[in-house]
Amino acid sequence: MRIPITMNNTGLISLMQALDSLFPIGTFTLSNGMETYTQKEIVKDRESLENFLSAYIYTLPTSDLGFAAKAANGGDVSLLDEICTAAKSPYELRNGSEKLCARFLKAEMAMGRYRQLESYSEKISSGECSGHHCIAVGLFIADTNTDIVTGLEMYCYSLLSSMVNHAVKLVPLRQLDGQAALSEAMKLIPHAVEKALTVPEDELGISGFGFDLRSMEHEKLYSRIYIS
Amino acid sequence: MSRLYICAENKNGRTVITDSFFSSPIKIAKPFYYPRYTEIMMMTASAGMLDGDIYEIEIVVKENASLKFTGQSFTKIFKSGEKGGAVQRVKITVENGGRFLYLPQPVIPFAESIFDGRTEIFLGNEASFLMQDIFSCGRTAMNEQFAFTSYRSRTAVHIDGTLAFLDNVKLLPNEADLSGIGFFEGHTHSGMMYSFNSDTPDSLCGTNAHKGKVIRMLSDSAQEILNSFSNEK
Repeated sequence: MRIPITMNNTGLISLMQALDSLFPIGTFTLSNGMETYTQKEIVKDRESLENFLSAYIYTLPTSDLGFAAKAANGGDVSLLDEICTAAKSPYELRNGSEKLCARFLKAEMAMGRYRQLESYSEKISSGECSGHHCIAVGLFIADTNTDIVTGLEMYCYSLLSSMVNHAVKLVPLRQLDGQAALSEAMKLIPHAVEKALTVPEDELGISGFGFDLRSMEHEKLYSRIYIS
Repeated sequence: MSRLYICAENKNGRTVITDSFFSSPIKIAKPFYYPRYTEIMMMTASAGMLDGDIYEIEIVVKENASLKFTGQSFTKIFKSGEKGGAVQRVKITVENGGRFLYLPQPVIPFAESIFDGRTEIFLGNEASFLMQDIFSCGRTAMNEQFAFTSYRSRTAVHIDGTLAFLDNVKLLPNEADLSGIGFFEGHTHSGMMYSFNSDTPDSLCGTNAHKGKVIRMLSDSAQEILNSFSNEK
């Protein structure tokens, strides 16, 4: 027997597809600084990965997760895009975010009609916006009518999960150590989402000095597997 | 509230201060005139920023004027009390053809201090600008590290009316391990330099921001950062 699915359910499943690490937009090529951390052996085992993740998730409500939350809640997309472009000052972080966004929009718009993604895409084509993956994800949460909290929790999970996968490959770590570190960090997701939903606009773009510095250092690493 | 207002203009090839205003405890030294630029040094009659202090600083560099802004001593932020800490608002405008070096001294927030700083910078597309922002996590010589209550600093650079660079900082030692990964990573000092249409030291870790260049450095001494930043300036 076929089970009827409601609009919300398909939305959630579409979002799962969009945030899947296998979704072909190139997430696996961007370590967002993790490659520097592992080469410098600052992240080298399960414990240091756990420390990395708890610091990373602490910064997410004012960075990628915050932008996604504001976009999902009907925020001014052009303004969010402008702030995001200015705040992602390390070239590789900004460029990676723009590339992911372009591929994300192309893939999703080939599969369905998404009003807000289309409008964002037009603003990018006209040069009004740079286009950032986090903002596109927020708009997609809105376009799919996914519950905002659930959608942001999934996005937050996907950001953590990517970081863990990069670390597991780069250090390398035992797969289970990676998953154990991830499940520790997962406990912080609901709080991070709650903060992201209420972050004041002037706090958008707050990150960590070390995270920015290591992303910048990545530009000059002697050997690189990742492009950020 | 203490105010400082400076307007620099090019008069017959020399940069002169055509308008200025300041109120206690902020003072400025008599401008130093060099062949290629004019230097203004800000001084304060107090030992540092006290609880409840509000500084409002506005600097305008007109077309083809060349100004350098420095400070006399490190900015100490004292313990906050019922007035909720110290506040600083800075507005900088550099017109096309104008050149401005904004080189304030390092900031040291003392134990239990609260600081809220906002810096809005407006540059013309043909302006030249360079700034440094050096931070110490406390009186490190006394082994005071990350003992402040809260440190907030938001620097926004607008070029031709569009936000081009944002350095947004909020440090709450009670919420996160600021000496750990992602933040100071075992160091006590940070230095940020931003430049637009201006040369910066090549040897340091830098990147191209959306517009302009950014350099960042972690260190254990403010002097080391000052030396690195000034070497090739």
